[in-house]
Amino acid sequence: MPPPMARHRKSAPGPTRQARRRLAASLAGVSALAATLLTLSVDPAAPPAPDRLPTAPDRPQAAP
Amino acid sequence: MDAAVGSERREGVGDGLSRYPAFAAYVEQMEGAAGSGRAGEPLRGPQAGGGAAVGGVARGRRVREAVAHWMRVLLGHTEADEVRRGRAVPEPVEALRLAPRRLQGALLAGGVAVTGLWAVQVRPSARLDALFATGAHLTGLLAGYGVLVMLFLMARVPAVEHGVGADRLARWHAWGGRWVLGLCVGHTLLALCGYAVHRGTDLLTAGGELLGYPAIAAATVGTGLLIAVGATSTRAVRRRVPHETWRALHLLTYAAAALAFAHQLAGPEIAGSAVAVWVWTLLHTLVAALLVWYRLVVPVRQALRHALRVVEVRREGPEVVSVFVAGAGLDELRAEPGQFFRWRFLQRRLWHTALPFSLSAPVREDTLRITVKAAGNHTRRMRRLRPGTRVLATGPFGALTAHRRTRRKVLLLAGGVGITPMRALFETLPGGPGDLTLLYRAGSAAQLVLREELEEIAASRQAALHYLLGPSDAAFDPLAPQALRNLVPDLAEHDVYLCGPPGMAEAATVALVRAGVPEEHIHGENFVF
Repeated sequence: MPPPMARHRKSAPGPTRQARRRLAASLAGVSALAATLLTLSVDPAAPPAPDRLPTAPDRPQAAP
Repeated sequence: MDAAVGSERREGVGDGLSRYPAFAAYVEQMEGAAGSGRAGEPLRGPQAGGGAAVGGVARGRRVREAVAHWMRVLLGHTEADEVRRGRAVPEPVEALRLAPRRLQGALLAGGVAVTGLWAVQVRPSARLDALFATGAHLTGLLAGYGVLVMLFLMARVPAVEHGVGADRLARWHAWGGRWVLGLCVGHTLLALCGYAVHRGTDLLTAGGELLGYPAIAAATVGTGLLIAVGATSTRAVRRRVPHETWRALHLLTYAAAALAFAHQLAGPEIAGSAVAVWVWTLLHTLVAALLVWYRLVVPVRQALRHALRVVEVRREGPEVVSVFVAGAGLDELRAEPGQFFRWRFLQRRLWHTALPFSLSAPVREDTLRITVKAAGNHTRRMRRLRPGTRVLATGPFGALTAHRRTRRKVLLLAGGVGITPMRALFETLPGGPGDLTLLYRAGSAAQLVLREELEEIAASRQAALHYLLGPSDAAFDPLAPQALRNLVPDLAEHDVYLCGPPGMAEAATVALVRAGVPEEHIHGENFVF
């Protein structure tokens, strides 16, 4: 019976590629964390958008 | 480890020092004074007044090494550590390059997605206030996206710089900046008009009410800063303002983007969904992270790691000098022939300006070389650089490198000081006898630079070298299509690398296209940006 074929594995990435992946992951992680914190803490007030109101806009009352 | 690093770095700088006697004398003075305990005594001779006292230099080196060590700890294992652990050279790794078309496609897709976000939520209405508001939402979204794109283009991400090229990125940034400014102003006016019509008031009263909202007030200040940046970037103003002043004002863009951020989260298209808020915020934090990393952390880390210093200033011709800069571990920069750095020389009257200069030779024995023509006050002062002067160099940047080659035959066309990157490519571009041709355009033979080196390279590589001499307004144009075809018979089968003054580069490109070279095979870099 012939011996089993050697399993061919993809060679491990070199240190430079590992460093690049680590950098990308770190930047993405820090950005995601900052985004989460900002989303939770920043809640700016703004006037209601005229195109999102269900009814006609208020008008100043005419003097009697 | 710090002592080992220090000794390795010293040895690295010491290799080949005998080729730079002035710098070798400077190093001997430093080490001799430190050994005899004369810490604090200023250097004598030509170096006097040019550097710190010896004791301060040694202390500075220890501080530098300590900071570099902790940065490596914080930032994790790097290939520099692999080199110190005994590997001879860094592993050859293909540089990451983002193709220009791919980047354009991605940015366009982003713009379409933002427009789609608006489109799916728009509520059609014929009311005037609703029309104004709808327009304000769209322009606001696109303006916010546009600001992010402008900042990203200038973040100096290596894959983008090496793939697209610094000059092309600067042109895109300038073109896009005008549109972004228009969108910001348009958004402001549409929002103001919509609110005024909605409230039934005049524009001034409406404006006053809107400014009562802190986020809107901050965004208004940000818009004002953007307008100021745009105004100072017009040609008429830039001609009158020193470059460093213009750059300092341009940094206000960061403040403008930060001030406008909170207001964007209040827009109905974004505020209506927590996911949309998070994604929009993430885009901002990603761009901010890239800016901080590549414009702040990487330059500081490079400065600490490589410790560049001037070792020699050599006269190459009238008004032209070559500056040799040595450091440690320069292989890690992976600077390719054809690329440039932004150079800041820490000497009096030079330290406040950073200018781009191409490498005029491949990196050798931890030494970089640039060749500079005195064309202004700064470049004239560079002729008086002293050996031992510290150098801050950020980079490498630029996409005028071997990777753009698509054909066996290559024509290098250089004008004036554009010969510097072409000389480096002339030496290193792979090719057999007859594959490489260099055409060097100059006003006269006296203006030719690095002539001996070019002739040596041409002889050793059996490459063609032609000098095209004469004033640019002469009757005979050596860059006319027929003249080029006469010099380079199978011109249409060449890749052309082009570097020179803008007028010459433009004229040469037109001539090359007329002579039959497809435009996609002409690769150029314009340093006026």
